[in-house]
Amino acid sequence: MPVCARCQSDSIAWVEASDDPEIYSYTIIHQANHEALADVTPYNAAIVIFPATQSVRLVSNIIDCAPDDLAIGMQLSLVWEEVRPDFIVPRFRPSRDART
Amino acid sequence: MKADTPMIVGIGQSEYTKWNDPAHDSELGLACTAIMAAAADAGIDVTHIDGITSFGEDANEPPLIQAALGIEELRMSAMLWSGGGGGSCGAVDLAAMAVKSGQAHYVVAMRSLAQGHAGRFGQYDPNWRHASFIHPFGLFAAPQLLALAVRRHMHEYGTTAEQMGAFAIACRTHAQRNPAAIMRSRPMDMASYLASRMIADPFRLFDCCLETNGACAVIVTSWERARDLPGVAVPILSSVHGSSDGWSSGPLGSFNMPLESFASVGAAQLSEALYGKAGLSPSDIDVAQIYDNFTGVAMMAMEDFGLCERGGSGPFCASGAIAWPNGEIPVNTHGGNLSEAYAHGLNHVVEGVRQMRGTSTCQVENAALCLVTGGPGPAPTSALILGRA
Ligand SMILES: [Zn+2]
Repeated sequence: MPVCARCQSDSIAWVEASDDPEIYSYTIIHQANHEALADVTPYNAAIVIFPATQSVRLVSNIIDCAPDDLAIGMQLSLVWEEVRPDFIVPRFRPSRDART
Repeated sequence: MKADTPMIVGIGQSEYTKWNDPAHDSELGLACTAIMAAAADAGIDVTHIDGITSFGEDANEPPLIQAALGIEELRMSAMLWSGGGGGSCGAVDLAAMAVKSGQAHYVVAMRSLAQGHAGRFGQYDPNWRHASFIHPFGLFAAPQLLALAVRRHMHEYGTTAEQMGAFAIACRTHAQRNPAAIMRSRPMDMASYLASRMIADPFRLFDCCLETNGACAVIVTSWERARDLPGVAVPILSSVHGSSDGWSSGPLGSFNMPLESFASVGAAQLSEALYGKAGLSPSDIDVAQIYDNFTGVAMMAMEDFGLCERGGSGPFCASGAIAWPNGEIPVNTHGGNLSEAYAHGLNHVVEGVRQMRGTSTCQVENAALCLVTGGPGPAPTSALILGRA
């Protein structure tokens, strides 16, 4: 049963996150520890925060971005990527109206 | 020293070999070797050990060890939760509690690892606690996860690769004097550190700990019983384990720790408790054994435990402050997990005892207080302050 860590209430609901994703931290992974990743290595993984939506973090990948261009604070846009028909993941790309 | 101070009376370790060395013993065999060595060091009959503690999901259960060593009566056994090295000092803390309460008389804290038999760390594991949230994005090994915290530290405080290199080089240099160290005879300078291949940026190969087969054991008893033993007893002046508010499994998957302490190891509360229990402050510490899964993470731990200021570990390491013999607080005088062996940090406790006995291969002159910290990242983490024998 999920509860609120501040007041222990179990009255929870979905709320829409703010549309302000940005990179909080990132790493570029050079060693593939799984065969499924061999073809995409090196690849990045990032922690994405939504500053106007407190306490929410997502781990994701930044697509359409060269490794050298990755930067903490980079503004992002959400992209739903279909890995398989039954497997859709949220990824991010640099925001077009780059607010950095 | 108070008469109820728990004492470390015996230390032992197996030979250390690389994780894929085909000749290595089983985990249980390594554990027994280390425990027998610790009992011999303490001057007690190994069959008189009556308590066993461990951490890191050690697979060598106390009943197996009891049967293997002929332990007459097991009065206490306990495992500190958390999958990583967070519990290294915590296993000693549990042993100290058992001895203080009278539950058992001679408690051994042990850890044995043979990744060639039991499975290598850092591989894809669908049962990892936050798997659904991180695995689809290719994030699952410890260096990848902890790189995210250290990258943030670099951003906030300007920590550099060369400063992390200074930490790695200090450990490697100390290991050159340690006959048991896996990286003995392999000195390292800044050029070869920087040339090591990138694993998970900002971590290069030589920012990462070793992968080792080996075991360590530490025997704890009461102050009164220690007086009757022939060996040199080292007092545990303070021992703690725990997890800070909101920290949880933090950088090993949830990433939900408070942003204000994100670029830390979340041990600020634990550090306060550690020093408070002993009536000491960080400036009293003479030598420190800091759990080094990765350079930058160990450096954040140095900040949490007050060896340098918040954000200041980079310049502190680069200044030579952690290098034996002239540094102000030599760190990892055995070589650490980076260059001695990956005995999951129990080797740091063993080295702390050596320092307090005056028998380290990088002995800090007149050292009277040694800080030892457990693995940062997985919660609970843990720490000890040892006093001079
Ligand atoms: Zn609430």
